[in-house]
Amino acid sequence: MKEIKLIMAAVAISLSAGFVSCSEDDNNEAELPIAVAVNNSYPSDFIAKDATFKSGIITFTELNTQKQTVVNLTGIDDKFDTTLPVGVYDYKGEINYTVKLADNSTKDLVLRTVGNSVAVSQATTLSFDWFMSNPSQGLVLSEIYAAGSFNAKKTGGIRDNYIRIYNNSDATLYADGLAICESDFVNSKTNNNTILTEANFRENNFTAGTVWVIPGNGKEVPVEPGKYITIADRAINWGEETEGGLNLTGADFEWYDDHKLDTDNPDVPNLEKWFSYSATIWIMSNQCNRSYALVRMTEGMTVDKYLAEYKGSYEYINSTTGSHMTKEKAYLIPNSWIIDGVNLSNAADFVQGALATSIDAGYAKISDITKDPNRFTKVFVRKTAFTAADGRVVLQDTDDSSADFLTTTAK
Amino acid sequence: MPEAAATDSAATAAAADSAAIIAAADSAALDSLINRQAMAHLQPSSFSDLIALLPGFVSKDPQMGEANLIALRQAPQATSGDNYSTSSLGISFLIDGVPINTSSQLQTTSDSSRSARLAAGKGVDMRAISTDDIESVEIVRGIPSAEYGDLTSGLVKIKRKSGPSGIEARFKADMQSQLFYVGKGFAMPAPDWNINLSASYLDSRIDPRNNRDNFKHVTFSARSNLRRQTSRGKLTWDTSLNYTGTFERDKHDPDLTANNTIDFYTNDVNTLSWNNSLVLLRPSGSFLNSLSLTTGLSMSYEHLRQEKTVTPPTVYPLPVSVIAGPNYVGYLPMLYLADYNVYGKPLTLFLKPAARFRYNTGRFSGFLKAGAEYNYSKNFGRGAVYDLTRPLTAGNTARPRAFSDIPAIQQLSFYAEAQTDISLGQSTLHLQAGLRETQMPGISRDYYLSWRPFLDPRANLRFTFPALFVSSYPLTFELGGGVGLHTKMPVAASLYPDRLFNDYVQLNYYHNVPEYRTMNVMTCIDDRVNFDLRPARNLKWEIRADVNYRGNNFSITYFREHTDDAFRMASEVRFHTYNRYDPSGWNPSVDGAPAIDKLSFTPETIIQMVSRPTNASLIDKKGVEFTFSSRRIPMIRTRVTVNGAWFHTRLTNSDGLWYKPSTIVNGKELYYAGYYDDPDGSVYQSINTNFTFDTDVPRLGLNVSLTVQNMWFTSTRQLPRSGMPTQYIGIDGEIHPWTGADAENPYLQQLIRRYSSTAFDVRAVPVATQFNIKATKRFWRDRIGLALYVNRLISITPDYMQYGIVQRRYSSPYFGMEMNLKI
Repeated sequence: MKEIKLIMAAVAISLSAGFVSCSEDDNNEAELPIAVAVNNSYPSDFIAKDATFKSGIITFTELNTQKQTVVNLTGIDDKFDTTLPVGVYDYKGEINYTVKLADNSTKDLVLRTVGNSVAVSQATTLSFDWFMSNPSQGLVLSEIYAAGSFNAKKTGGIRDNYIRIYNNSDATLYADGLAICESDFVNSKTNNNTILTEANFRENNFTAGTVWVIPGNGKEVPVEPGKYITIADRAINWGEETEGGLNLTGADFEWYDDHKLDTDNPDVPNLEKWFSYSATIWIMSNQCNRSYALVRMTEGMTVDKYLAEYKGSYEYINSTTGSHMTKEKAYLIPNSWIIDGVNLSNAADFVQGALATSIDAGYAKISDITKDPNRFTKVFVRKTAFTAADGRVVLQDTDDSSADFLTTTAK
Repeated sequence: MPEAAATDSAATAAAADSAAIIAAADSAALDSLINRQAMAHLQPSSFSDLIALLPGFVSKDPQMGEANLIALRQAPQATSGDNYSTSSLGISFLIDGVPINTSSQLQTTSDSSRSARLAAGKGVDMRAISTDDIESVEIVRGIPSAEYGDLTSGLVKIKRKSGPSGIEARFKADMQSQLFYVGKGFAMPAPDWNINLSASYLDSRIDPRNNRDNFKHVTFSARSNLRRQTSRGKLTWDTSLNYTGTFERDKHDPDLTANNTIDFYTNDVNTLSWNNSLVLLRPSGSFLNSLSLTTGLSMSYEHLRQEKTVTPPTVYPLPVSVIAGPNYVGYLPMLYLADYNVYGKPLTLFLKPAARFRYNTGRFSGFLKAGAEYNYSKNFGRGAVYDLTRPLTAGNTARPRAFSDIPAIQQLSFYAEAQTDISLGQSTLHLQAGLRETQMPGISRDYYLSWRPFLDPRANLRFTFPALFVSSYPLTFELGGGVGLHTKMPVAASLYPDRLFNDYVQLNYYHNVPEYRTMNVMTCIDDRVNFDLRPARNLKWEIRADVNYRGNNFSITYFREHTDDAFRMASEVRFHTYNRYDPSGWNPSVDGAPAIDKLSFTPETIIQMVSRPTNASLIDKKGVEFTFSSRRIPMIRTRVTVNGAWFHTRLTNSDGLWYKPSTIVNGKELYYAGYYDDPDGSVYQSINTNFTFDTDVPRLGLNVSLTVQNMWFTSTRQLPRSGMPTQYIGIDGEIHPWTGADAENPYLQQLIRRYSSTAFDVRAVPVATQFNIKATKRFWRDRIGLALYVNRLISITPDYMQYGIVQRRYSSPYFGMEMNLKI
């Protein structure tokens, strides 16, 4: 990904340099200001007339020079104009505003926008999509590596998969007792089945195919503010097995399947498997087209009670064949239990995610096409929202994975 | 070939020539006869194409990338799967009186994407039968004579050409394949001695754009036919030497795979056979009409090979022990080349002495037939040969076994049958009644089957009413019917199934330091032999009516077939115990790699479902078949042939089934398995008609036919089931009845199977119509024939709705042409 960015930047710069040098031989080309018009679009639940503007700032970072251009905003407008030197930019913006609540008190809120690799070489118009930023003050899914690294023949992925849980708050939180669940639904056009059983409607419950639980009494797995825990399929130094594989021996937990096809690192504790649709080994969605939920069950939930009361078998109409089917092997997770969730998909296949839109309004995109052979080595990473005064990195959690996540090369 | 059969066929062939060229029915049992003329018109690539001539079938494109199995009197969408393979296994193929014995056919692969290419345990793969040497084929769908056994649902009798002829050559090309054939019948210097030589070659590409996936078929045949008049009668000796080779290739395109690996699958089968038939035909008038001895000997050399670059996505532990008990195991590398070979060498032997007696007492006349039959087959192959540490797929539960370790399959049968024509004034009653007795010698006494006799009584009846004269032409009317029992013995794959090797993790210690890594499994070997296995037996009856008037024939049949002991792999509950060793607290830097004898453990029991060959499948067929063929209408030189059928096919289980859901609950496989009385199958129906208008203009040497094939509807309905077990078993081995309260238990409720409210609705597919055209033009006094065919030249497949979704059907024409030479 980084390489692509650099190439694009290089191409953009060389093009613009060529263009500029023809007309303005004497000037320093990088200093030439280009007129940039920006159109803003705000989220539908943002009502501009009710908001009182406090401050607004947009930072453009030129990727080649790392030179920053800061634009201070004067209000919540549909558009504004500025100038930028020729270059390729990442940008991020923040608008602080207040709204008056029903009891006449005021509440401070934040709108954010982010963008990557925008080439500015001639007068241009940019479109900024602003979203409500409300960083979750808790544990979030910060990284998901579902595709895996390339196998030795580069024909597919290996299972150096992991999930990272990050403490996005300023207090130590405990991860034990949390469940990590994979959706039974697949986030793709061909699996966009019509669900007939009401309990399995997305707005009611999350339908899980696997329920893994971090063992402990609730005070055994502390996660400090700004720190994370890593949960790997197998805590193996994959680089010893296949070139390019990750070293996951430092993982905090493994999901171990107690099956002859699995390995168990004695130095890394295992998750508890409350339910799995697979009797052999569970593997993450290698095509990156399912959803993952981080779940805090209600106080006093036990595995027997959960298994007895939350069976989630459901009826549906298959979106491809039109036939009326039943899924036996599924369990329910009430939406109110979910503390964070991420839909994964590719752009070509996405119709809707397995999570309720209130939990994830979009999806984290692995690629533009189905089964992209270049998806391997790509890890989903939650974007940084800001760095707090104490140096702690606060990750962006707007409940819209389309905005919150990017992919980068797993290391 | 025994004279008896020859006479039957000759009679039917004569009838066919004068009647329909597409199909004709004759003899007491319901059968279809396909002659040379019909085959030439059909332009087949392999035997599979001939099936389209039977009532109930529509023409299909060749499917050379998979085993072509036959199914008779069965709705076409009832793709029966392994649980109902008795449908195809129970149809016997005879070539010049010698059956194709597939009992010791064992070629299989653990690669599920290739298993559809193999027919082991499912009967005859019709791709391997070329049609060019065939003089005529008789497909008996009704009750066959007691002379023929080891079948449940039908009999295919193939008679090959013999006698002097010029050089006959055929070249055919269609969208997938090219076919060459050349043959000649030589009149030898000695009188009444002919030798026929022939060779054919078929090269078929499964997808014409892909020349790396193909199926080739090569045959050579030398057949001698010698007749001598002796003082005791006319002696005929037919002998033939035959070679058939089939070669399947499926290679990866090195340009499309990473690092240019050339992975491939090949399956070569070379079969040599030597058939003999010695017939003494006594002079007419003697009670002993004929004596015959038919023998067949065949040997196949089969080699399936698969080379595959395997890149397991993870580190797989690799249990390979063939010894039950605790075993330490290694790990599979993440890149290797698997080289998998299966060598099969089935030998078959067939011996059939038979006698025929003739009697005529005026009112009663007919034949008595009696004979014995011995079938032997044994596979001398080495079986699967591969490096166990480099398997095609990780985690498989099979271990190689030499086919030669599997005992021979033998069958010994005796039969007697009477065929009597009783004349009752101007009416005739034709009665055929016979009894066949079969047993399996040489099988271990532990088997229920050992030497146990099975009796197949079979009878056919035909009553010909006195002819009525309408406009001074006779109108004849016949009523017939039959009933019979048919027995198919299990094949080697069912009698001697592979053992299963299940490995359960006792210690899993994948330490960061490779030297300390240890994995121990409990290897449990499950023998899957079912000593109680019985043959599949089909009870069949049918009634039939025929009307003939001035060369127009109409025939209609209602049939019922019922088998409730067809072969099926059904699960049995087994219990395996192993220990779960706890390595926590083990310090490898002091004590090295852990060993199970130094660790504490907790015992564990697991329910393992083991599928075994049983007789728990039910195959129930009923339906109506009809054929009408007109005489050639003189003005337009056209004959109309109509055939069609209604088929009602029920495929399900005849016994309850054990089931354990494959889920993990609370970290473990379920400690219970449920027993369900629910049916597991479906009911399939179809109605079709085929209209053929066939015009022959001898003056122009032209024959054109148009066929309109209508599949009026097909429907499928899953049999209703409750999803509730009637009882369940726990790891303690105790069986408990299911009670309502069990549905609340977090673990037992997993046994409840759920079906959607519409799961048992009828799913119907409306009419599909296709127009096929075939034309043949003969030149140079019929020495050159040019022919072409287009299937689905026009096809009408209306869209239909299913659960609110429009279902569109697409079809494209399929065409081919051929040239025939006779010099």
